[in-house]
Amino acid sequence: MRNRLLGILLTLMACVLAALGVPLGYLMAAAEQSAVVVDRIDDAARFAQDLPTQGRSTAAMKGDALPVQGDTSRLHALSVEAARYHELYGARIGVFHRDGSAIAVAPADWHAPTGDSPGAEAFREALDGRRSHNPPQAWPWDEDRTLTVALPVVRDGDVVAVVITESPTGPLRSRILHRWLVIGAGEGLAMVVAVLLAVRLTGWVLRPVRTLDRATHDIATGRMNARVAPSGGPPELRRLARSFNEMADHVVFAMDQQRAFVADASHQLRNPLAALMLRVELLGLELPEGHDAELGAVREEGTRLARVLDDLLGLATAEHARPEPEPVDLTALVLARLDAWRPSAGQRGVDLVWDGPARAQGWADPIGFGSALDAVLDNAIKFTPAGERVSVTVAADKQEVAVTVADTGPGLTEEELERIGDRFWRSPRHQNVDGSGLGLSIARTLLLAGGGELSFSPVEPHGLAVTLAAPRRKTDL
Amino acid sequence: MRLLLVEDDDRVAAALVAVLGRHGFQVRHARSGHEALDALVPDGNEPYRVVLLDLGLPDRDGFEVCSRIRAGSGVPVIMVTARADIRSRIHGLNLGADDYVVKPYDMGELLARIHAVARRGTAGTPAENTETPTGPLESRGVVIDRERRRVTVEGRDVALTRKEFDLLALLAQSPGVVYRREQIFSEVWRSGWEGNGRTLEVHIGSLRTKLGLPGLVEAVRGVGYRLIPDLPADSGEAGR
Repeated sequence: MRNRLLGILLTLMACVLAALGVPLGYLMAAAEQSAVVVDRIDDAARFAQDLPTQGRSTAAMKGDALPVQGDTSRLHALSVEAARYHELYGARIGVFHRDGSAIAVAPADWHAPTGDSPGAEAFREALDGRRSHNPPQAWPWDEDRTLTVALPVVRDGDVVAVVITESPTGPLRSRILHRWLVIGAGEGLAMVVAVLLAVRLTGWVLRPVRTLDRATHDIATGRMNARVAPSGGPPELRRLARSFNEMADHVVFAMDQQRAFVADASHQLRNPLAALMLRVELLGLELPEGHDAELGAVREEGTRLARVLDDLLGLATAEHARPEPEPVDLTALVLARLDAWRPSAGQRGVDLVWDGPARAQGWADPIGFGSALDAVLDNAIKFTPAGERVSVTVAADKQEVAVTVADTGPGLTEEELERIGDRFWRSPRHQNVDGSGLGLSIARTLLLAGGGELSFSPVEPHGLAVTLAAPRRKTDL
Repeated sequence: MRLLLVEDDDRVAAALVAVLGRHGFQVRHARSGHEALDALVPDGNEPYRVVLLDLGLPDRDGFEVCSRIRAGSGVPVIMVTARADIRSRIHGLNLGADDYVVKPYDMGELLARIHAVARRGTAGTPAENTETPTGPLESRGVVIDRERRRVTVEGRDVALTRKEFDLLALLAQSPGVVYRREQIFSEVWRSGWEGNGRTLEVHIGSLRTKLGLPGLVEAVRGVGYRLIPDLPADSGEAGR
């Protein structure tokens, strides 16, 4: 977003600068050239004035191209002046008769322009009695161009001669180039200022967005105490940050309420349940002989209810827990848990086997991961018929370490696979197996809190595989 | 055996008092910490052997009551509470509680724990006469000499088998209190499994015959057995 915003701002800026700079450069070049042209026209006009043609009739002038006697000295003076002019300004100057023959020319080997060069064009126009209008613009990249200005010398309404100056455009072009460089430098400076301003502006606008983004990510990944620090930025974004904080507060409050409710409920139910169990005990004392089985069953129900309460409390605590993942050798952890479960599995006639690398380093909260593994193993052993086996596989790839517990129990249908791990969910076919239906929920909560995840897949031909995954490297929770 | 029950929930307390009464305990119910501390002041009656202390009390914190009990007397305290978290357990035990039971509990477990802390409570005062041969059965003419493992009735030696003696000695620990079958099996037969049907009944029968006092060991239906020290004083506080 920052780059896009910067790009847009800078493109706009560049467009504005170009829209201003290009015409400015053009106008500058035109002004420079017209100053030169006006200058040359003035010069030419002065030469035209000095042309000694006064007092001669039009007819005589037309018939006889030579000036009358006495003018020779003035003609000579004109030539000298032209030579000096040429020497001084580097511009060629020539005064020509209508037929193109020179009256005074400097340098001496210069002829009236012919053909269809711009000079010839100007010459023809001057013969028609028109002054040269602005010749084509000279650009700095034009090579070796000259600027031709032709001026008609009019006597008694007739064009008797033409004064042509042809100046090299080198100095003009370098002057234009120089002006342009100044303009370019100005624009570059403006662009630098614009870039600085744009960077600051986007930073100012985007800083609250970035902090918001970070806080949202934190909250999404479970760090509920993340908040947006009040900082600069546009008022709208500041308001958004405030609203975000309020929202986060409310979410945390609601979650705490819910958690506290679960904890309180499981807590508060203990007293009535205790009273109930005591009454059952009392009732059992009054019962005649032979009802021990029923009494035992009622006691068992009470114990089951008590375990549900314990699990609920466990879930509330697991959700509240803020585990600190650390590097753990998950193979060692799995082996330790398997050793702990072996007697219990042995009692049910279930074999526990494992396979995996000697070391599998992963980032996990060892207690949370161990508890989750316990819940999964408990489940697997419970559903595996005697004589079968529960196999535990540790596999490590680049991203994560996966501990898969596969049983050979009845397994679950696809529909059931989607629901497993939901709170209190139990397969309708397994309602009579011990448990509250919270074990896997607690396992999932514990794993998620530690940055891992819990997934389920079927085993062929029947059974369920539960995979506990922990990241290989520290994840940014 | 006198017990002090500190519990603010009347329904739990009523049920517990009834059950404990059926087991031969004399139970006093205190509804608050204040009342409990008052009840523990010696008043000439038989001292309380065990205090069952609920932590959620209306007037003061159960932990505080526990430390005050501990400061004033050596009576064993079992915390009976709904707080299951490990920190409360540790805190309670650190404050001087002898045991910690979380509600809802199994009655058999609670009774076993009561007996356990009561036993430890008496073991802590070996100089007292609770375990001396002339102990609590003098009035019925039965004297149990634990060191020599001999029993005399009215001065006459009675030859008992090892299990019979252990059984009598166990019941004599707390006369009047009903020992549950599972507890008798645990302590006499050292087994958590309740034997092959009639083992206990057979031993009780032969014990009664050998002692010549059929009413001394009484069967409480559905619970277990108890020793009745004095025939007329039987219906005392126990049935409250």
